[in-house]
Amino acid sequence: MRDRFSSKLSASIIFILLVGALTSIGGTVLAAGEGKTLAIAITADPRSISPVSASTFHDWVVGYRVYSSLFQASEEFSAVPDLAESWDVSPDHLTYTFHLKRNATFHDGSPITSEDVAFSIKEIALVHGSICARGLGSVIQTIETPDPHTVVIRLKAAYPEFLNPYDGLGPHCSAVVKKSLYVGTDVINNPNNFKPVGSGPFKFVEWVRGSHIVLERYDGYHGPKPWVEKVVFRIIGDPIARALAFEKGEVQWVPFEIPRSEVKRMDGLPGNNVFFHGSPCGTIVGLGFNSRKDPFQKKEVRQALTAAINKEKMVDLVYFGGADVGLGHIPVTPFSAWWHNPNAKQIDFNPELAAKMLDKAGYPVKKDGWRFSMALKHTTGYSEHIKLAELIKADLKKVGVNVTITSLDHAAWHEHVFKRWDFDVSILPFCGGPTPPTMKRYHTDNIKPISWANCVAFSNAEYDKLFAEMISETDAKKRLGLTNRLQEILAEEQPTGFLVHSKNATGIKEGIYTEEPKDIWVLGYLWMHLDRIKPVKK
Amino acid sequence: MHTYIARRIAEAIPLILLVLVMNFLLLHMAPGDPVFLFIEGGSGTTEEYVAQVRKMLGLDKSLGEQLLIFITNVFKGDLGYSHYYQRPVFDIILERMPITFLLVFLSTFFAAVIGIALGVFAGRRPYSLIDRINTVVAVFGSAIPIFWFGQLLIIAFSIHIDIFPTGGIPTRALGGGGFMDWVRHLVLPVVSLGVVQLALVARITRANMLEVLGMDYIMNARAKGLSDRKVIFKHALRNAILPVITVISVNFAFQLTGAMITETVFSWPGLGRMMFESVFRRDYPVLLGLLIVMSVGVIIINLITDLLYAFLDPRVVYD
Repeated sequence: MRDRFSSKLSASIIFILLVGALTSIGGTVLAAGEGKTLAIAITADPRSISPVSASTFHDWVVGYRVYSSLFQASEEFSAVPDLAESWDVSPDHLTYTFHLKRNATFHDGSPITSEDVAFSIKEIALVHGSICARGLGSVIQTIETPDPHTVVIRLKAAYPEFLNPYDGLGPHCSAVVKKSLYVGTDVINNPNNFKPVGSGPFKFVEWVRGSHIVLERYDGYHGPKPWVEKVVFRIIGDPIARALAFEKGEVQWVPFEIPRSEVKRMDGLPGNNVFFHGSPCGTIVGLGFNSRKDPFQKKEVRQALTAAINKEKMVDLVYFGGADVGLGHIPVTPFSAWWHNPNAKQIDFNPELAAKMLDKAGYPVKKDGWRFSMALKHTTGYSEHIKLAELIKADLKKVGVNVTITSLDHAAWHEHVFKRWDFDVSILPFCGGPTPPTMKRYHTDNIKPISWANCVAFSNAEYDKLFAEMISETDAKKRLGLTNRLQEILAEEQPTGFLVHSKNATGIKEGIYTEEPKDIWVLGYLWMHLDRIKPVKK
Repeated sequence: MHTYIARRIAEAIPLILLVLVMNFLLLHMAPGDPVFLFIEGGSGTTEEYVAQVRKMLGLDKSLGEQLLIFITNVFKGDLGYSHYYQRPVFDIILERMPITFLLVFLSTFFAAVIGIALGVFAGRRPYSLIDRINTVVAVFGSAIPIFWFGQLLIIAFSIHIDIFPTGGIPTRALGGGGFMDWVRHLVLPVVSLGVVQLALVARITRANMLEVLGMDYIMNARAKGLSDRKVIFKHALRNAILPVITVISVNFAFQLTGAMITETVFSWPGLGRMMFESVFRRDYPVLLGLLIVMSVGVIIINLITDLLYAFLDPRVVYD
């Protein structure tokens, strides 16, 4: 009796398992890439893909090609026509006149006029698009529309970066919405924010939150017709899951977000092209010294601490080769190399010199074996920061500085470091570069309790004066001279110990792009120009 | 019975209110300013802009005012507006609820069927081979971290043996979306999430079966000449299963928002993953909304469990 019962129960379990296994096999699903469909992995849902309330670069990842803007970025990151077929700049650099294309239409087929452009900048970008609100709200004086195809923008003062695709009136500041859909409405809660009607090469099709976003080619686009017919952004938050989806070919492109530890292995697999490249904004990872506190007011102490840290070890052990030793505030990239000052002497790893400098600065080793103690706070929002903190602690121990590490989740870290200034030192990941927003980071006026401001309280009269001159200098050579001097001040003063310039890792399946893609700027360019992606014929 | 249900619901209201207040205060006491995260990503932010965002998110009011507004709105059926998604929380939760429910229901079903079967087998023949297998499964399921097990499943059954996708839900734009495609996408997350529950269910079933099978009334039943199946299912399992049902029910309620690791590893766009992401974004309205779902879910499931007790065990009588 018992045996019969046992066999029935066993049979039931086996049956359930078999049914499970059998039903799981089969089902045909198109591989990514078939039918000119491009599947791209992104890390999270964008907050918004409309210019309304899209506030960060990443919010624009999808929106870039749904909307057209006055101009867009070339491969060299200079301004090239988009909705505006040409523009004139007055000799005093105060008036910009944009001439719009006459054949441009929104995705619903209606024509784009200068009224739409003016409304989009004035009522949407400057009010609700926070990047613009921060940068250009205080720069633009008036926007006029003398006829349906001309937009005239007058500035309060010369602003040399006005045509910079990143920090000027770039795609994120002049994306054009259809005025009639927004005028007189509650802009923030307008339903069109989630079903955007743009005028870019791809039109919005579907957004399943947490899963995917689908764009489709817009055949009435005013520019060249894209080869790709459909773009599917798959939202894959976990880094390993993202890498595995790429490895299997479920996505063909993982821009910027392949785990660094996986790069070497994955690049060796057939059909994969996985590589490191500079980050889109030239990320500098530095050790910020809170100069409100003793002993970090002393320049010599800041210099000594930077000298005591082995940056090359960080590049090897933490970044798996996906970083360069820090070369100051402006990294050497195609975008910023022209502005990089090689004469701004950076501080090399030299623990013996560091120890002597600390002695000289008045911090000898005391009886307890330490010169002084300091609290290092870092965010867990970047997985590599805890490893950096451990290396810093080990290096500084060798010169007699006792480091206590506090790991904080990203929100708490922001509060401690940027709002309450409650830290001795902190690992700071910043965008580098020569543009006013990044150079302003160390300005005295920027010592404010807000995110990414001058949390280290660096204040230098010469820096402030030169910065004020630099942001309104329209002569490129003079501006370069001022920027060079600003870099020298930062290298000398070390408000932040420049540790590394971190790189990102991208994976692209072979066969997607016709040219050598191992260049961040081509990638960055493509990122904003999915319409220009082509297949490779080998 | 009706009076009992009405009383339980009446008792639940102050409990929910207490949960709301506690959740609200605990979340707001955690360090981290949502406004800072909202505007993260650009330098050159002005203090005016910070104030503008703070006002827009309703965080410019005192904590007491915010609490009052929150509770009033909840009782009106309004869970607030997500800081990140910029949409009503109620809509976002409703959008993701079915997808999570599907995953949790199937994993619970998987765990219940296999776990109870294993437990019954093992309890019926202690220290036999099947009992040892049961012990191994139980230890494995309890000890293995879900995220690691999930990744192992992906590497084994998606990368090396190409049967299942690595994650996500079917996407029509990529040619998916049929019934079989759903099955393919569900197998690995269901197994991954189910194994932990399975281990627990099998262990508890075994322990209870062992206890019940040693009781006098079972010996009596056998002495009466009842078939083994009747003894096991009609007499033993019916008594042994009550604590198992409690465990399954409570797990089910928690997993509606608590399957965050599985949902993250398998890119499953459900409530758990949304909770995981919302914690880091300090999206208070979404977090509070999800905690309400969890609390109300636990209360409802507990009520259903109690009613199920009465159905399964004639000795349990309400009223």
